[in-house]
Amino acid sequence: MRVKTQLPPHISASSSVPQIVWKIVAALFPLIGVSLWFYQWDAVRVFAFSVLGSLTAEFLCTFLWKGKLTLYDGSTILTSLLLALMLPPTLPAWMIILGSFFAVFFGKEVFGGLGHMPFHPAIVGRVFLQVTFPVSMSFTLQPLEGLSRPAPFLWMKEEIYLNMPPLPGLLLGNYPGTLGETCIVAILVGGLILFWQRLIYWEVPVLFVLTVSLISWGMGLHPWESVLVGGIIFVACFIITDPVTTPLTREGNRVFSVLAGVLVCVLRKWTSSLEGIGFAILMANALTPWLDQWIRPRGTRSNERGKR
Amino acid sequence: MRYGICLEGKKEASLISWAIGRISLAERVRIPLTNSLRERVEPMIEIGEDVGLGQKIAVPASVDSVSVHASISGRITDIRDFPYPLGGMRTAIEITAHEENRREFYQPIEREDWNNLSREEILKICQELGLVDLVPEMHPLHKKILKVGEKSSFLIINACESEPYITTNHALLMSHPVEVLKGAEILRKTLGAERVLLALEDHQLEVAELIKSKIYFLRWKNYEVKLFRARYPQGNPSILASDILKAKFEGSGKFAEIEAPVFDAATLYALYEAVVYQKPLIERPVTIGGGCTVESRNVWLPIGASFQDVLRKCRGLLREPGKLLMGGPMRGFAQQSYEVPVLKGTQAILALPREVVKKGKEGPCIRCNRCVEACPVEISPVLVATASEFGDFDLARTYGAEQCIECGNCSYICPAKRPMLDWIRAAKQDAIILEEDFVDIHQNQEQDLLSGAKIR
Ligand code: SF4
Ligand code: SF4
Repeated sequence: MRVKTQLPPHISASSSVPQIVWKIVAALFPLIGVSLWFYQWDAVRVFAFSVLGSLTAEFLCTFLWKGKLTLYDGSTILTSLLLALMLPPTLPAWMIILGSFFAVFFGKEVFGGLGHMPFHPAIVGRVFLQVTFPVSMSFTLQPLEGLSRPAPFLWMKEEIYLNMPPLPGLLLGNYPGTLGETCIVAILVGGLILFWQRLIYWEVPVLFVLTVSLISWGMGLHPWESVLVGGIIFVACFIITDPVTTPLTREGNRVFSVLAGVLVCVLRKWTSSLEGIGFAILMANALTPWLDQWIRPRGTRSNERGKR
Repeated sequence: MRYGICLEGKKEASLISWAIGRISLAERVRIPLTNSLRERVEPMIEIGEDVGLGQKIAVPASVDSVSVHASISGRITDIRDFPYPLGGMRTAIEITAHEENRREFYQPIEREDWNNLSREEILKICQELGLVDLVPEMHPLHKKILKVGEKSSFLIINACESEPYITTNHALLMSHPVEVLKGAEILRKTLGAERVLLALEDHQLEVAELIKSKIYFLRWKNYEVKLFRARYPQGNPSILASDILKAKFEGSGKFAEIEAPVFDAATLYALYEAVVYQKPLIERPVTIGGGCTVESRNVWLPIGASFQDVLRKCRGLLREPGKLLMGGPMRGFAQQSYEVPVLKGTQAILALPREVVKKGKEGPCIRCNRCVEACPVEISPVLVATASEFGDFDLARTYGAEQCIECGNCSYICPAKRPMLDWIRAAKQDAIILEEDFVDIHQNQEQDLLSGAKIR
C-alpha cells in the first residue's frame, strides 16, 4: 500500500481564481442589463464584437506561444465586457474588434496572461481606441430611442457639464454616453455585489470618489455632479478594484485610490476628460510596484529579522 | 484579532464519546530511539532479549535525550532503520509480543512524597521516564523546563485544537480533568509560576465548564480558564502566548513562550502519571479519524504501534484514502507507507478522502491579498514566496521569511492554489526541499538540518 506524499497543508480553501473572476462578471450583469435596455441592438452588437475581438486575441496567443487555453478562468471575457461597457454604442464593428483585440493582446497576453499584467487591460484597450479614433469614440446616441434610430451625434463629456440633466436622470443614466458608465444605480448594485462577496475593499471606491469630488470642488466644479458623470463611479467600482493591477495590501489600496483620484483630476483638467481618466489609471497602475514595496506588512509577532 | 482563518472543525465524529478507548494490544511495535538529530541514546538490550511492559530499553547518552521504554512486553526482534513518520528512516527497536507472560497494563508504583519534589528531582524524572512535549516537535520536557528557567509568571495549558479532526485534548480533559490539573500543579511548582491558564477554543464550552467546576472544588485560586475564538492557528504556542500576554512584542515569539511557557494538556497528564505513579511515557491518546476510517475515536496507543495495525484494529478503512496523515490536515505529515510507527508526538492518525485533499490547478498569483490577511505573523506571504520562487532567498528573508511559523494558512487560502509554504520554506532553509524529502520540524529551533535533503 502506498499513498501519495505531499508537503502540508493537505487541504485547501474552496475558492479559486475562475470562481473569483466569474463572480466579478456576475456583478456586471445589472449594468449589462441596463445598457441592453438603453441601447437595445446597438448594445448587443458592441458586446458581441468586443467578446469576439478578445477571443480572437486569446486563441491567437494560445496558438502563437503554444500555451494552454485559459478561457475557463474568464478573465478574457471580463476584460472584453469591461471594455464594451466603456465604449459608445455607435462605434463601428471593426474598431470594437480591434480595440478588444488590442486590450487582450497587448494589455494581458504579452505580459504572460492573468496575474502578470501591470496595466488594466480594459483601460489599455480604451486608451488605445481614444488615441486612435478620437472622433468615433465621441459619437453616441440618446438612450431609449433605439427603435426610432436617430442619427448619432457628436458628443463630448464637457457638454454634459453644460447641460447637466437633473439628479434622478443622472443616477439612472438615461442621458447620452457610453454603454455602461452612465447608470450609477446599476454600477452601485454591482459594487455592492462585489463588496458582499468580499472581492473588494469598500474604501477603494469610496476614497477614490471622495478624492475626485473634493479636488473638483476645489477646482470650482460642482462637488457631486463632477463625479456622477464621466465614468468616475464605474472606474471606482470595477476598474481600480481589480486585484491584479492594484497594490496588495488594504493600506496600499487606500493610498492607490487616493493617488488615482488625484491623477484623474489633474489629467481631466489639462487634457480632454475622455482620455484623462484612462491615462490616470494607467499611471496609477505603474505606481503599484512602488506602493507594494513601500507599504507591506512587516511582521508583528516576532523580531527575528536578520537572525537565522 | 484580524488574522488567521476559520476552518471547518469536523470534530463531531471522534467526540461521539468523550471516553478514550483502548484497542486490543499490538503484536509488534517499533519504537524509534530518537526524535531529533541532536539526540543520542544507547540501547541497553540485545536482540532476542525479553522485555517487560515499561522496561527501560535505552538510556540517554546526552543531555538532550530521554530514555526509551518498552511499550509492550515481548521479545526484542530487531534493531535497525525503519521508516519514520516525519520522513526518511530512523533507528528503531522492534519488539514482538509473545503469547505467554503478557502483561496488559502498567502496574503503578506510587511515589511517596510526590508533592514535595525538588526541581532537580522533577527534571530527573522527566528524563528517566522519557517525557517529551506531546506535540509533533517532541521537545524533551526536561530541556523545555530548563529553558524556561524560573522567571515565568504564567503557565499555559494548551488545549486549543485548532486543526480539524483532532480531539485528543478535548477527550482527555473530559475524561481525566483532575489528573491534568494536578500535572499542571506539579509543573507550576517546578517553574515557580504564579498563575495557570487553560487555553481553550470557544467550541470547547463543555470542557471549560467541567474544568471550572474542578478548579472550584480543588480551591485553586490561581487557575483560570480562557476561551479563545476558534481560528487556526490559535493552538500554536507562539500565537497563544502572544495573545495571552497581549504584549506588544519587543522580544520574539520564543521570548513570549518563555515568559508564558505553553504545555500541551496531554503532556501534563503524562507528567502526572510519571511523577505520581512512576509510569514511563509508553502510550498516548491519539485521534483516529479523517473520514475514511470506519471508527473515528480517541484511543490510547502504545508508542511504536504501526499505523497499519492501529487502523486495522479500528475496523479498517472505508476506502483507500487520498492521504494518510500523522497529525492534522494543516501541519500534519503525509505518510508514504502504512508501516510507520506512532510517535510520542502523534496527535492523530488521519485517513483523508481524496475529495478533501484534492488540490485545484495551480495558477499564477492574482494578487488578491488573501494570504496577507490570513498570515498570523503579519508578514506578506506573497512577496516572500514570489521572491523565493525566483530564487532570491535573501530578498525573501528581508521580506520576513524567518518569522513564518509554517502554519500553512497562505497555501490553504490561496485561490490560485500556489504552494506558498513550500516556497517560503525554501527561503528559510536556503534550499529547495523536494517533495518526499525529510522535513525536520526542528529546523525552526536549532540548526538541526535535514538528513538527505536534496538541493536543486
Ligand atoms: S507565511 Fe508562514 S506564518 Fe504566514 S500564513 Fe504562510 S505559513 Fe503561516
Ligand atoms: S493568496 Fe495566492 S493569489 Fe492571492 S495574493 Fe496570495 S499568492 Fe497571490
